[in-house]
Amino acid sequence: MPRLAALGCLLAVFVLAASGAGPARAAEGEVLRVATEGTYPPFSFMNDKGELAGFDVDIARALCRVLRVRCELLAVPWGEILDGLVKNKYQMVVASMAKTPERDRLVDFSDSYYRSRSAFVARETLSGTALPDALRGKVLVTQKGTEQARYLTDNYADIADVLLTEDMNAAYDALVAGRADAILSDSLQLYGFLTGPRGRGFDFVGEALPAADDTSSSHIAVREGDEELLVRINNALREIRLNGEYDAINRSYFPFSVY
Amino acid sequence: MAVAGSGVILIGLCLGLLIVHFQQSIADLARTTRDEVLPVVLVHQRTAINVERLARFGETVYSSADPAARRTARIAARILAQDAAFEKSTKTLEGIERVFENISSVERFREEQDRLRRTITERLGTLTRLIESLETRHEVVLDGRAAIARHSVLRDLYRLRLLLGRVDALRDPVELRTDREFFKVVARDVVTALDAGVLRPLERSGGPAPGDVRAAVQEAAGAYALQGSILGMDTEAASLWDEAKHYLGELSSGLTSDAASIAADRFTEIHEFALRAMWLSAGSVAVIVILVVVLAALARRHVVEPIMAATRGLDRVQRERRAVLLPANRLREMDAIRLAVERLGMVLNRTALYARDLEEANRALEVEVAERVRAQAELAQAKEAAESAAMAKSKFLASMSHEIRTPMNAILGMADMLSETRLTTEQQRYVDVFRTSGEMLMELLNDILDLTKVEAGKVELERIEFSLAEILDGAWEMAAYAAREKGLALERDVAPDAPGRLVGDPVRLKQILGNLLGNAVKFTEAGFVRLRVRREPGLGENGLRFTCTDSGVGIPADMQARIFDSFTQADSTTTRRYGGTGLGLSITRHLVELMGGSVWVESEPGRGSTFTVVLPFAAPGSCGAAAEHASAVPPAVRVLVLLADPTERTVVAENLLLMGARVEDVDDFDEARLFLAEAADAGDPFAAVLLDSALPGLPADVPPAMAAVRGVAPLPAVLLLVPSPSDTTPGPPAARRGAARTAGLGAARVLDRPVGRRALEEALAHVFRDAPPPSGILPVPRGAEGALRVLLVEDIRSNRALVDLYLRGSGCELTMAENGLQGLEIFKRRGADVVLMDMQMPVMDGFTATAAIRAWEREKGRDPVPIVALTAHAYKDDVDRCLRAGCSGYLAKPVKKADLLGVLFEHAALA
Repeated sequence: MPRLAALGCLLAVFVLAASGAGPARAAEGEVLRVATEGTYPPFSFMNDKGELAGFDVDIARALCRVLRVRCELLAVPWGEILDGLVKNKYQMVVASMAKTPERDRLVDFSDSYYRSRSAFVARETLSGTALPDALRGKVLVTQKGTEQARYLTDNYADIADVLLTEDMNAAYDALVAGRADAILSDSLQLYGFLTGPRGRGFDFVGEALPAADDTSSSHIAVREGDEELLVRINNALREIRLNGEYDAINRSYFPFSVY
Repeated sequence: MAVAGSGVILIGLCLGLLIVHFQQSIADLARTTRDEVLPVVLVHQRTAINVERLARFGETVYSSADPAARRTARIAARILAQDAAFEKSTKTLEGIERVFENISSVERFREEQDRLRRTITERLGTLTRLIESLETRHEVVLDGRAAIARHSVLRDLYRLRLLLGRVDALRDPVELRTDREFFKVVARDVVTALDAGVLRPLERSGGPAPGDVRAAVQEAAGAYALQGSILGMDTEAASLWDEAKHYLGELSSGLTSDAASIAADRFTEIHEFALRAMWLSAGSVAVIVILVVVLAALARRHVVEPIMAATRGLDRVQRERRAVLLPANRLREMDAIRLAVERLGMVLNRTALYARDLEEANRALEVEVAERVRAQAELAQAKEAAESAAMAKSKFLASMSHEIRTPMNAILGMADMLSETRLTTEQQRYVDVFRTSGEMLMELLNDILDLTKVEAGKVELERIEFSLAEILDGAWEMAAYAAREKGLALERDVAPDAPGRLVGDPVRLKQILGNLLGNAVKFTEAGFVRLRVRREPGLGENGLRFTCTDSGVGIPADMQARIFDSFTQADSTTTRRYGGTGLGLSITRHLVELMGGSVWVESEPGRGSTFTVVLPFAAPGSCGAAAEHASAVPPAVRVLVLLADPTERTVVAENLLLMGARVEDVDDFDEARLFLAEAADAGDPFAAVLLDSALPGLPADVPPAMAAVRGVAPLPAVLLLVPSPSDTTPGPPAARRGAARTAGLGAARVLDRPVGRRALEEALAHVFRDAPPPSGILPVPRGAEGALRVLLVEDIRSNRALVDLYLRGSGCELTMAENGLQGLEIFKRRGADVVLMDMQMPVMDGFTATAAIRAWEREKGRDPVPIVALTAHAYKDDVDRCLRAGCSGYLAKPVKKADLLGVLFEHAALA
């Protein structure tokens, strides 16, 4: 009987140790519902098979792998994405979201998972001129409800026309179609555009937005007060940085480190 | 010592704290390394990588021939150049911006170069077309001079084309100049030829206009300038790129080495801390070891040594058995130990002495104990012997009882028979004495047997209803005679609230009371014996206290307990003086205790004794049926009571009524004579008269008894009641006086006052034995067919004779058998109405015979015939045995005639 009791104690210790080991571990069978935009290439878009793909998607999946939970990815329009998180329709938002004070009041943000400054792109002809003169009297386009939109309205509304579209793809369409003269978007995304077929004849205009600007880094959002998940996400981020998964994902999208 | 100890503890604590502090610092360093330094290093590393990538993109821009690739690389470089990491320092930022500008410039140069090359290629194309158009005019026949001229122009054009084709391969400015010069020379030749109108003849046939050719050649010549620009741009681009590359290289390695140095610094810090901690720990350990050694030394000197000294001291104490003295110690505690050891030494010494004494005492004790054990063994043996002797005695007596009783039976029976014959009063008296003696002897035998039974615990108490007065009377009678003889006053004092009837064992009670009274009378020379009866509360429903007080010799204190023992009287002299067996009190005590009471004595030598008995009795109605005495008085006999005292008259009359007599009581002599005459005339005469000798009105000249019945026929028996001896004047012994008086007075019996029922009954029974039975009384027992057939089964001849005598004149038919077997035979053969079966017989005893008879009756289907057991023992268990054997009733031996007749009558009535 004492032998059995000792064995039982040992088992209990193991269980406790296992349960307490590593803050990044979670209960088996846990499902994490993750929301992303789905119309923001190359970070989140629908591939040929109609599935969600992209840098954000890959990062989300990598995090879930490290956290040992099952990922359920959802595509949510940008306008509703924060609302859905607040209403607990999903636990995480990985959608290249900038961390602003207003948003921080509603939700909690993780550490940044990539950095990228926003910049203007217009026809090559405008490239040589400095801002804001280059865009004076022009039509400027960007996605509605983004920080870029706010930036345009704050800084260029009185010297240019600001055009806001439902999503970034529409903004690019507007630019290419000539309905807009310049687009303000994330550099990494613009890189994709400029080096793609549609981007011929376009180039960066002026300096990028400052590195200290809120728009210059992307964060993962969780429900306000969900401390535990936040810690787990930050630790998982650190882990994928250290074990090379992040670099692998990075390399598959961009030829340089975006962290 | 304490100070040293606390000092050590303090030092230990301090060292411990220091070590902990250092370890904590190391831990903190490690943590900050992970949390702060590591990210910084990582950032450095990442930046270095990005710098490398930037250089790579720059390289692409510089080296790639693909404008799209160059553009992509430039855009990528631009994004990389925006990296926030570069904004850490302004210098870095400026540097990186310069790098990007260089790369952009390089791209622009390359674009321009491409454009120039395209121009050169165009011009080459033009020239080539011209040449082709010239070549195709070959069918135009030219004269010799024209042909030669054209040929030479063509040849020059060929040379120009060749040269032009070589232009983009020219890298060296010297080569370029050389080629240009050559081209110029050749071009001059061409121009000269053109000016000479060499190509005029070809014009008309569609050949190239000389002007075109000239233009083409001139333009082609311009290619060298272009190429020169290209080369110039190359140099420019190269220098720009070199600068950028160099800067990036330095930046990258700077970052790497920075990261390395940060890490190295941190690790060095940790290393130093660790070293310090290690030395501190080592030092602490050393210090502690030293302290421990010091402490041990101190302990040894101040603690261990004194303890060892104390131990050695104890050793000495044990060996030499005396106290020791030890050296004093510095430490208080050690000193305390020392003192304790010294005291211990003294104590041990004393203890040793005590032990010696104890040993001696022990030895003496052992001897005594051995002695005692031996004595006890002897005692046990003696006790066993005594017990077995007693047991043997009891057994002997029990077995002998039957043997003893049988002759006694005969003696008493014979005495009875004798007294029934016509005797003179003197003879009657003698017979009375001899019968009384016999009865006394019987009593003694019974006493002895009783005691044996009681001692063996074989007594069973009766639980029947009886009259207290009867028992008291009975006991009284036993002592009254002797008391009268001695002139003692025999007093009886019964409490008015004493219960009349009780449930208990009357026989035993009478035995007890008789014994007490008898003893009291025996041991009193003069004075009185008083029996007092009171209720005893708390002792059963009818607890009673009997107190027997006498004015006798008294009992000394030391004998008072022992008198209840067997065979003990106050001393051996009393036996000789007073007689008696000495068993009475022993039996009394046994019986009293058996009945659940107690008996004790209070006495003072010379002043008399008081024996007290308290006994519990139950109330009547709770058990048992009253046993009935067969009244010895013939039923419905007429008795006249003539007594002065009204109370006495009432009591006596009531007693007589209870006996079944018809009573008239008067207190006047003349009235009595009247009654007697009337009754005699009526044919219903009085059979007896109870006369008070002191009745007033008795004639003085005639004895009162005669006076009473003179002239009355038939003559009734007179029972004279005389006052108790204390009232009469002293004279000759009362017995002789009584007898004489009786004779002279003509009384049948003389009775002492107060007369009890028993005495009365006896006297009357005696009287009526002689008297002819009134008609209708005592009928002859009759059987079913005429006379009653009685079968007597008795082995003793004298007893058989006795029964024969009893039944003579009764009208029964008596058959006799000598033993059970004979009796059984006779019974079977001739039958009987009643069987008298002696139980103790040889050959076949009564029990077996009875059982056999009953079995035979069952077998034959006959009604059982009454079998009356004749048994020497009338105790309950004997009776039970008889009844179990099948007897219908029993008679105790010695058998009285009246009892026998009564039984026969009873069974005859039933039969």
